[in-house]
Amino acid sequence: MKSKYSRRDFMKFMGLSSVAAMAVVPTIASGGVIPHIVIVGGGFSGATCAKYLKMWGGSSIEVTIVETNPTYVSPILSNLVLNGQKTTNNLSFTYSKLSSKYKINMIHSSVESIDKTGKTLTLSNSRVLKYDKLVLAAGIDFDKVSDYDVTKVPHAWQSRDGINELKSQIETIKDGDTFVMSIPASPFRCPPGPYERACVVADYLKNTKRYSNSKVVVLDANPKIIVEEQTFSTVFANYGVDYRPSSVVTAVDDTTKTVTFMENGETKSLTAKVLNVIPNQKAAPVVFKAGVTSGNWAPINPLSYESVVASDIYIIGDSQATGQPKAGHIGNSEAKICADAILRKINSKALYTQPKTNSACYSPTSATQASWLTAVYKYDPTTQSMVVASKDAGAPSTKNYKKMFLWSGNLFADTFA
Amino acid sequence: MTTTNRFLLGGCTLSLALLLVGCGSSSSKTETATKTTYSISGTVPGTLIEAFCKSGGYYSVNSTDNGTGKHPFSMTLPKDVNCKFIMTTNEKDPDITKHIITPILLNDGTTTSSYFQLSSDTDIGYIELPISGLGIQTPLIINISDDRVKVNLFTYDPLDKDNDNIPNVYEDDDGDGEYNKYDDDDDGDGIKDHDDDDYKNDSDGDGIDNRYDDDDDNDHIKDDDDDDDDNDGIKDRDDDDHDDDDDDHYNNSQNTNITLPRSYSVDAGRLLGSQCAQCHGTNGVSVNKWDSIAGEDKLHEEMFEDDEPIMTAQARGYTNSEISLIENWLRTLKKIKD
Repeated sequence: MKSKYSRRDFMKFMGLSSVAAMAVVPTIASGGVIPHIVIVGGGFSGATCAKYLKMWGGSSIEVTIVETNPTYVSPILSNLVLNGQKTTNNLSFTYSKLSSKYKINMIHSSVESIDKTGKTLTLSNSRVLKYDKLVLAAGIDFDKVSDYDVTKVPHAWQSRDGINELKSQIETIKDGDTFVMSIPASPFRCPPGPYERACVVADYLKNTKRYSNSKVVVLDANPKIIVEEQTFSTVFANYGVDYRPSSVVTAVDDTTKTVTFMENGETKSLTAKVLNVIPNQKAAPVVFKAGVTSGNWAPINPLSYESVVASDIYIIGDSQATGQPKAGHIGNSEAKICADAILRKINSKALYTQPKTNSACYSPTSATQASWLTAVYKYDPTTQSMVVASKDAGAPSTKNYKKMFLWSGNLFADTFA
Repeated sequence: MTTTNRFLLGGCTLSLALLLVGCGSSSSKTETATKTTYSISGTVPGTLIEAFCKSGGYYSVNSTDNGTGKHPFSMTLPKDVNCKFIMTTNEKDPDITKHIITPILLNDGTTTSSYFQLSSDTDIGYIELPISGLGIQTPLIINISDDRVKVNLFTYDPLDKDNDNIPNVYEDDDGDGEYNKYDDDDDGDGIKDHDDDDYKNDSDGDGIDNRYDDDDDNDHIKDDDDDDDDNDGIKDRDDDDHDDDDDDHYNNSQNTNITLPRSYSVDAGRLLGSQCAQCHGTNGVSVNKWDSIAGEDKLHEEMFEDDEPIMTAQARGYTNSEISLIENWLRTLKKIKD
């Protein structure tokens, strides 16, 4: 069918209607205006915050997640991709449940800029999004020591591509080859994670590949194993892992797979078949864009996770500056405190003054065994910080390996379903 | 330029059935807690009534010609979902340019917005739509003083990206004189929508990504019940470009119908108890063989049982009064059989 009206006529209709509508719509209406909470990042903390905001606030609020990727790949359990027990597809989650069950708006885009005064976000698709409360749940960024190609020397600490690249490089290892990995200075995402990775790779080369002459070297920027020291030092000894504390990476050559490092004040270098450098970490780029950082991280009030430098901006998960660990389980935990605090604020209720959070992690140490680590954190009003209320750790066992999947199953569902 | 109509306008069995509800008379249906939809009715000049909902749902009915100037209509919409009306008179004219298309705004005395939400069956009376003119009309504001219709204003409206009260489907993005809804090349890039990536992500062009759209093709049939989500005539199971919305690890029937509250209430026990969910499931309902704790009434003993050291380590972090708060909240939840 041929169009019978002109572009100009159409614009005339549109123009008239827009102007007329704007003239009669009250600019700010009371009561009926639904507060809009925008969450940047759809990982463990962001997805949980969105879900609990809607579960507790329902139709009284509007929640939108801005997340670049249509599918989330869980870093939790991702070391099992390296020994072939999981694939990144097994660890992938969509946002369809958050959208259909909890009526959360999903926008797959990234943030270009934040206007804190006008309370708007400009997205990379040029759209401008107004917010009443902004939650930054965007994870981490990396501080590389030099300009090398991370597709050749993957850190495999964030994305599907990184972990799959590291897996395919590990598959090229032959008996007698060396795997060298480095552990960043604390704090970093998932404190047991790098130690767990060293164990899983050493077990894979020794017990699955049956290599008796391959070597795993761990360069740790920290003076000692920072968590589960008993567990990991025992497993390292069993596998013959060459663990080198106080070894700080200073340069990486992505072609020769050579890493240069300072060990006890002395410059040394190692060449590997596969090199896995996990760089030092800092808050996600969007948190710096928002101008809410102090040093590498974003200081917040632990009663609400609201920034101490900007009102109506909340930071949860790995980017925030409390001493709590940076990991998915506790990101989920913080998100619930934040969601409840935002709802209290919107409803003019006092904040809950005794919040509790918790962390828990099962770490595979081989293809059949896992250890665990857990802690409860409470608010200390004197220091206005979160402090440990109780903690414990459990040694590797086959029973714990099975429980690891029960833990992750409920954690994944509590976050994404 | 050929025009393909992406929508099945009117005439579906749903709308025929609803017309029997009649108009102007108060509904005799009794409300039950399980009711998931409500009807909204009224009278109009001869009209196509379309409702576009925030979750991507699409509904339409034609009013019934009863020989008077006020034609009755009735439409059933889901509860807890915000929808907006577009009403079209002269809609039977095969020349789309002669259609008189009116966006509807509702004013409840404090708020004026295109979005409304039903909490019961309601009759909004006669709507005096324009019956002359061409194309998109100035939005018509209907004053409403009816608690059953809640008017909600949103700062983010996926269905109307430029906030001009004209839904995306009634915009003309490429300025070729055809509304996106009828245009088979919305962005005028020369690639027919069906071959265009933009279209693949949003088949009906309503502004909601197919992954999150309750009704990808705006054919009134929810995707869950529709075996041809993109309405291209190829059944979903044979269709390469069909991306089913239900593509995660979770069984679709599991806990899908949750009722979201209308307002927030403070509950310290719920806040503390939500910290159990990482291991025991949302609201105490585990998705695997780890214990569900919903309905738990012996929490003080359970938390300190010696058989699970990781639980004991957690339990030590809570005070007796905190455990009581959590237990009081868990008691309000339905117990799951072990």
